[in-house]
Amino acid sequence: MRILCFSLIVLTLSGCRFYYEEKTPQDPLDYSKLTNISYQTVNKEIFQPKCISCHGVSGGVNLESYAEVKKHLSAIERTVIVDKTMPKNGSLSNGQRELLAAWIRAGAPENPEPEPTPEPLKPYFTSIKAKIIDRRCIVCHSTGGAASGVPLGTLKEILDSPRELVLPGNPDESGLIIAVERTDKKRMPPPENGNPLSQEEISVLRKWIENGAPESETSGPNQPNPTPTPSPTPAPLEPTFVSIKQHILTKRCISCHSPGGKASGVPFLTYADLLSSPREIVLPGNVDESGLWIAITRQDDKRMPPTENADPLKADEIEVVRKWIEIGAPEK
Amino acid sequence: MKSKINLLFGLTLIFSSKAVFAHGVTLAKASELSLHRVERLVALCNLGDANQPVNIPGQPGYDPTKCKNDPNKPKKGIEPDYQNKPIGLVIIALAHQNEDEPSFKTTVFQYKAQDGTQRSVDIILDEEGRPLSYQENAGGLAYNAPAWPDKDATTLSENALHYILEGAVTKPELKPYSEKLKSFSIVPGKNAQGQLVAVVDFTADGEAKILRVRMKTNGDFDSAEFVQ
Repeated sequence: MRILCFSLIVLTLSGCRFYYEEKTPQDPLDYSKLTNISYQTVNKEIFQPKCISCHGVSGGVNLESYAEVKKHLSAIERTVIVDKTMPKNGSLSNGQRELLAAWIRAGAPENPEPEPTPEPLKPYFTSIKAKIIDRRCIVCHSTGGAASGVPLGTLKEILDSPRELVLPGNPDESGLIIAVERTDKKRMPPPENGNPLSQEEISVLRKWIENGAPESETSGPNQPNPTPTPSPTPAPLEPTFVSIKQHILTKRCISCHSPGGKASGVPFLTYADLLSSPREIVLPGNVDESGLWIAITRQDDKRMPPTENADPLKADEIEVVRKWIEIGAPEK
Repeated sequence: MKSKINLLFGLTLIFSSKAVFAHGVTLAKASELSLHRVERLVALCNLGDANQPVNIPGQPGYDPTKCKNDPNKPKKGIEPDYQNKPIGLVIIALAHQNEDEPSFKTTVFQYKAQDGTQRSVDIILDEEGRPLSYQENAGGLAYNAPAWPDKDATTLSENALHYILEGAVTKPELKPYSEKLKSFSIVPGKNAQGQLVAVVDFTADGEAKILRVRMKTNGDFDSAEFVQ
């Protein structure tokens, strides 16, 4: 008999415990609901399904509107959160209680905060990096990536690249634009990795480069990029060896007049090459008898650059060479 | 005393000439950047007036030796055959004083023409491998150049250079081919499985052996060996 009573008691208590678990579901809080939490959320999740059946217009504490809920906020907090005596059937889950508690802690706002408008893509590096490079390029174009040899992580890396990725002021010949606009399999991002950049994105990239590739909004459009570029605008052509070499010899002569070239016997690499050559290439102060002058002004097939290779030097280039020799062919 | 003066003079000469110091990039790297420059110049050749394109691949009369540019405008870039039909490259380091002066000269050759002439383009780079200028050298149309089924010859050559550049860090036997590269050639061949590959032969100053790198036609590395 005692055993039977004991068994009955155990069974009853087990049932109660089972009922308790059913009464307080362990559903965890869905944290996404905390974003922009408002009366609309808790009303939909809690008040409507769990409270209104008793706390409607039928009488007692009314919870059918925000105003009414706000009036009874303290009581709600005490009975639902602290004492857990409400709802009477104990049907709120832990997650729902947490949601209600979070809403009360946030000041019980009626309406959600408006979603912030995403920052639009703008023609400066920090914006382009955040919205294009970091999303579409950096996986490959960074250390350890498939294209780690062409890093795109910083503006300096991009501007310093010998691959002329960005030529400030010249989008048409910038490697970055060529790469994103091309339609063959060398397009970037690679066709196998996804869609090309949108027209808007390409347009902003072009604008950025056109404006001198500024780093940030404060750098301003058309202001010189504070990061040194690998190919700064060269100084104008002047009657010095250094300037003539930069503007004329390097571009028009050195491919032949250097080791391995067709005219390797007449090198043009150094100042001494021109002034000390037994061929009297440059006779300081004596334009008419300087070999260089004769070569660039003659009209026959021995003109330099050779007629089959290129156009003759321009008139202003010839004039600077003349002036240079006339004033004694200074080095600098 | 005299010998000390001579030694001092010699050391002064050495240390006053920047050419004696290592260039900013190695010869192999400069070669890689030259090939990239070739691709860029070909790409520029394909730019032009979008409203009046001329010389379009696939269109009647297409001439792969000519740019797509408007013939009334100054020509930009070089013809696509430099990218599709190169046979090799030669590189020379140039003496220079400053890093932004001509420091490397590379010449990319197309396959020879039937008349024996050969088109080539000289590319001048500074110490960091940045392009300074280029000059085309006249020659007939490339004759009997192979058609690569996937990646073009320039890309295959670049990838072979990557093998040297990356390998030279850990493999001392590759280092001379990075630092003292003289030339390379690229021709079709077969790998051990009988598949078509690009055979890229590299020579280096002071090295008797040729470094032979085989690249699959999709640009992946196949194998490498030293040959006499």
